[in-house]
Amino acid sequence: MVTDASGGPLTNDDLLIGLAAEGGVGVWLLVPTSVIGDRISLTLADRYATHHTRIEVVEGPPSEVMPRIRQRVGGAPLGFVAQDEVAALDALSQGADEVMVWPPADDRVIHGFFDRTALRAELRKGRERSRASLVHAEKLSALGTLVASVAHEINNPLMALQLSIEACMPLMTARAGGQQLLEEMRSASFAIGSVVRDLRVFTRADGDREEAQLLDPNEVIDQALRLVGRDISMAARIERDYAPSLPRVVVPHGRLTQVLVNILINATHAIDDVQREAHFVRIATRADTEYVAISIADSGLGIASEALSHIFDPFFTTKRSGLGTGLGLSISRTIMRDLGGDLIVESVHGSGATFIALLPLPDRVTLRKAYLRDRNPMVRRPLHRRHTVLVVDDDERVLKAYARMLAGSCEVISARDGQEAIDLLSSGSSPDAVVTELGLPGVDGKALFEWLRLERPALAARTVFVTSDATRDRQRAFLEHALNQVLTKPIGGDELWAALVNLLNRRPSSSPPPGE
Amino acid sequence: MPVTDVSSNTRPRSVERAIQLVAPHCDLVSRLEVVPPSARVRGLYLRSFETVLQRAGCAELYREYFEGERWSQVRMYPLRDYMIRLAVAGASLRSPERVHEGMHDVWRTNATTFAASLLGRTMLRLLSNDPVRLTEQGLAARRQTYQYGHWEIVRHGTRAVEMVYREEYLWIESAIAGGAVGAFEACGIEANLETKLLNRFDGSTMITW
Repeated sequence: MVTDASGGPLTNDDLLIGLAAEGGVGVWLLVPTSVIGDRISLTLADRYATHHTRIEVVEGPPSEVMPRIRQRVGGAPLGFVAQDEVAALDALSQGADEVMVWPPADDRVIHGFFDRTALRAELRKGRERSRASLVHAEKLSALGTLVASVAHEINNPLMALQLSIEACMPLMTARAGGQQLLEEMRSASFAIGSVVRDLRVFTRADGDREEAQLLDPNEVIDQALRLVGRDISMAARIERDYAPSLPRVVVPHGRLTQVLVNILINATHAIDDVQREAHFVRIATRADTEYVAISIADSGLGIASEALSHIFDPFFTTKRSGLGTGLGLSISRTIMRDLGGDLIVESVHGSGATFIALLPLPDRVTLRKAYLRDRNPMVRRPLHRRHTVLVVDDDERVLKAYARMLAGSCEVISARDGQEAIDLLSSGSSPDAVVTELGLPGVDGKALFEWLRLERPALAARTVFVTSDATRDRQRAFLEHALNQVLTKPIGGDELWAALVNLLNRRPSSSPPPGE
Repeated sequence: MPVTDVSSNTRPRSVERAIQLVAPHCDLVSRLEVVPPSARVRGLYLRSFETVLQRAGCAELYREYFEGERWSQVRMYPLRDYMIRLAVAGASLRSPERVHEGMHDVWRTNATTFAASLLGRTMLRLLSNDPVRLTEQGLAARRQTYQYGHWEIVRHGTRAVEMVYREEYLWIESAIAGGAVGAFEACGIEANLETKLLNRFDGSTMITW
């Protein structure tokens, strides 16, 4: 005998209730209406709180309804509440994933039935998510490669420009206004360099393995604003409410920038969606002894309360088509949680939204390690005597800029690739230091360094590497092993000078250089 | 300085003994059976027990079971862990027999605990002295710190609001009611608060002023 929750018999005329996820990814349960009593409704509300669900009433006996539902829901998990064991077997043969005979012996049977069905939904959702993430990751990877390549093309002429401007500055002192013009040009060229560097950080392909750095959160926010601030400032007033003396954090630079940029882009879209007399984006930072909080509030429309609980779900978006994949916030929260923090959102619909990124402060050991790794080794001192420097780069403009920059204090020998440098050294040139680009055609900087280690070990220890991207896997492994100083293009004159002074004024070490 | 986790350094036997302490005086055991593993709470409330009890000079009993536990204020932890500690904190503050009164008083401090936390300071800035706004702040704080169930505000005219609780696994009649009282006390708002239960997990607090 089959009975309903109140003890009455079930008939084939009972209505069925299907519980399904939007888009067919989720749980679909067929339950006679007469058993939607306290226990089931409580369990449904709780167990499926994290799913996109809707309730739909369908009419007809299970044997007729279920195949129709199966056709509609496709591969979504389908649970079936059967009247007896025969019906349960029928349901399974017709495509049900889970069955439960009603009435169950106790609540544990109901929980087990729901949990198993939900688990199937989770697995399915996970598969869908992985597939979409893979596509997205491939796109980002391609974008990262493109940006790295563009950055390299921009950085070489930009570096030539910067070094040339700096070389001109002492010559212009007598001319009225000339010094100021050069200073403005130099400042503008640094701004271009910052944008290129920020873009490279943001699209870094090896973000997952990016090393944590000692960072001032306020500076990282400013950097993110340089990337997207122009779009915001055209539509809204940007208000900065930074806590003074904010403690520094140790996190991967690119990952944090990625999160902040995502939130700022969201703020821009939110502002575009609503007309107001004046819009604002307010960025505040606060800290206690454990965490730093970065809050970004906008005056957009805000988020409806029913959407708030789903805002971090993958593929959930309230934006117009073409404005977002629905992955940005999901990825951002994952990043923040991976970093030991969190990302939360609060909103009153109609009055804007506030995102709060929480970052943990480093413990003393982590802080010390990061500090030692990060500290600026540059010391601005004059050279003790006139030295000879071999500069190696495949870009003629960069070589000329090096020559101009160092001409007053050093003799400069230049080579266009590693082989030319080796030929010069083999023919008797004896520079005191080498400044070489890593990515050279033919014999590259790495191969040149290997040759130096074998043939001129003292000079190998006085080699400075210059690169457009020190974070690439092969380069990073090599540079960590080599322990030499690395400068990232575009480098300024001060930076290059400090690196050389540091190397050339150093007393000869009694211990052999690394690798010997 | 950063906090390492967590309840793993509490031996299972301590937890069992803690449950036995309060089980005769509240329905903790049957509640723990129905709380899903997905129900979670931020650590800032877990760490507040020690502070509240210490301030009241009643931390001894609690420490007998949970001494040395450290919780990150931001991370989410199982509600089950929280419920056990809430009940023991209540028992420690009053007595095992008066566990509900104790939980009421522990929760009375929740509004100020949240408002004083980094998350609270960043999110709310200050607790409002407007009853409606304060209730909204309570709802927002709850949304950011508990992951289960559903709370909502129902307006009844200009001088009454009702906070409705659904699928609330904590003790509405004692702990949650205490939270509401404490929030209004902290802001110096004179209001009449009446909490009622529909069943163990559903209820509401009517606030009139």
